[in-house]
Amino acid sequence: MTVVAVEVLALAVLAATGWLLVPPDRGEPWRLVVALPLGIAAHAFVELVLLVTRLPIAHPWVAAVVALVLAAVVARLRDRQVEGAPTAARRWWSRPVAVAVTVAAVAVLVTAAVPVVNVTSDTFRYLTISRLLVVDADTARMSAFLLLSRSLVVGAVHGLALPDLGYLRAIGPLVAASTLGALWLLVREGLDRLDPRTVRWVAAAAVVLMATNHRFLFHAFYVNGHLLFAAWLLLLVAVAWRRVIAGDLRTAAGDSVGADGSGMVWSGDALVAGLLAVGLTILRPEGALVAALALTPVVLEPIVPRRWRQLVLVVFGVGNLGWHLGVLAPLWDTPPSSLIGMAVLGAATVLAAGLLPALDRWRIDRGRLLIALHLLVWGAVGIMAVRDASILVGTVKSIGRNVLDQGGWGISLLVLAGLLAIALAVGRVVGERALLFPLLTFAPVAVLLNHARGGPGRVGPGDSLNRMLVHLLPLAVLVLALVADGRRRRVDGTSVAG
Amino acid sequence: MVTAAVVNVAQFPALELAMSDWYEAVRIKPGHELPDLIDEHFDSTQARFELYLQIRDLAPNATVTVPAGSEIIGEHVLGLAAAVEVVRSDAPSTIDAAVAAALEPAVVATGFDRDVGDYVIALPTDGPVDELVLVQGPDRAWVVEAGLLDDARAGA
Repeated sequence: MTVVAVEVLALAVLAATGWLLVPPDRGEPWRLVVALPLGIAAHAFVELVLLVTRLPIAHPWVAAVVALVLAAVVARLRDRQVEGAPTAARRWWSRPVAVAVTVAAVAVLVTAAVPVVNVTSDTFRYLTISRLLVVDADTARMSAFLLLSRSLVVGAVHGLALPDLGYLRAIGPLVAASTLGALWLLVREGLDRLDPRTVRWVAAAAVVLMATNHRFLFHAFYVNGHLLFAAWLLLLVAVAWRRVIAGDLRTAAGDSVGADGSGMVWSGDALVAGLLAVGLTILRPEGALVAALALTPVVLEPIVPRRWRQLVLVVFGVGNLGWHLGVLAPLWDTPPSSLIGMAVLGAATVLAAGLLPALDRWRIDRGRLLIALHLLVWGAVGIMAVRDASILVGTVKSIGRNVLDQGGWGISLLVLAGLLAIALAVGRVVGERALLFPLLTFAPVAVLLNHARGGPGRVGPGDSLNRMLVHLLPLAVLVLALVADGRRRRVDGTSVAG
Repeated sequence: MVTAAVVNVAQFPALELAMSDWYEAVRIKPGHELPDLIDEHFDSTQARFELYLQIRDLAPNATVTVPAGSEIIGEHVLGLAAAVEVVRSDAPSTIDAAVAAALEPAVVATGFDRDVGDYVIALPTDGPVDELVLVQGPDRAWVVEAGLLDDARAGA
């Protein structure tokens, strides 16, 4: 009973933290849907800051309470800035709240009563980090290699459970529910120009497509970080996508908001995006790279207020450096190449925030620039292939076998990829650059990751790259659903029939 | 999308069946009996990390000698000595969860040894090993000697 009570308390604190961080104007359903994933991101961010201080106070519960207090302060400051806007604390009970609480209660009770959780040997490495944080509240007695390979987030969040159990049973299913809820709302928002009934059917089809995927269901009950990564990536891309569309609409309407953000009401979305990017960075070793891909389209877009982009970049870059230079400092005696690469990325991110004014003056079509960047990544693959073709060949073979019959996907990915290819050939998505760049650039980046690891990966469901494919699943389904709109609005604000 | 969802549902039982071998190999069931396993893993991790620190402090250029099947071969030794698991590739179904996990972040090489037979060696990406001595177990072979990372780099 105590175990369940502590789990409920942990989930409530995390969800309240996330809920407070989302601006109320996003609507109550959206705030509730993203509350838990965002709360986990905020908790992880505070945990990171506590670890960087090297003070022995980085107990997961300390981080949770600090994150909740900071979120309340942020919400208070934000709501004061927006005169007449709904405040964070205006409505404590509503139909969406009732639905969210019911879903959470069912998840907690069911996972407490039925052994539905998937555990592998990887799980114990994550939970070892949990135990180390609980025992020492520091990383001084923790192998930096363990942190480098397993990162922080999964261990930190499960550290909120009682040692008698060692992990939070309901968090996986609830993150899965959040992902499905976010997908539902994003599809409805993206297709708002179609008739409501059609939109509901398309959104429902997207949710069913996700919820019936064998790998999605496995990861929903797997004590690991893959589904959380997928949820965070979806949310980060969604925030960036909304920003691109909002900038597009402002441009079309002749809005007076300047490109530098002057006159813009500060939006909590920037903080949300920054927290999600840092969260990805400390969730998996390749997380910073994926976050950078997700942010690239919106960062390059001059129509998005510059201060917004700079704030996101600074939070992301500083968080990245805090992790790779601060917490992983013991590894810098003989730094692995991945550590150097990620630290350089962190420094480049902060530098990019300063260079944005110059970048914005660069008169080049952003669509072409993104294509050029995409080709650049493929060029890097080509260079690596020349150096060692066996890894490229091996990677293609292992991915091929995993996707075709060994990775636990059945033909799901083939069908999804085929549908996406057909859909994008005949239709377009509003603000598609923000959605497609991270999705399509993953393929060459995956090959580069295997080159960085020095091996082609394994055949089987346990292969790291095979498990990473679930990270893209919600985003791919979202794009597929949004193509139902069939129209494209160019960045200059002109709508065209597709 | 409806078609894709129907495909998902239709193939679900077959996928679950096909995955059963993998589940048996790596998934601990039921998922609720974890605290003892977590304790065990935690203790093992701490013990290996303590050993790692002792080796690093006492013998920066030494060669680690590891008894066959020793717990020292784990990820805490990755950066110092050889994070090496040697597994018979002719019996992949016998690869246990710990070995499978150790293979994940590693460079995998295959080969043949007169004493061990066919084997798979998993090396850490950033941990060159300059010397290996292999010992064969009932279904697994272990490295009993491996050059330290510092030693290997000094010689490079």
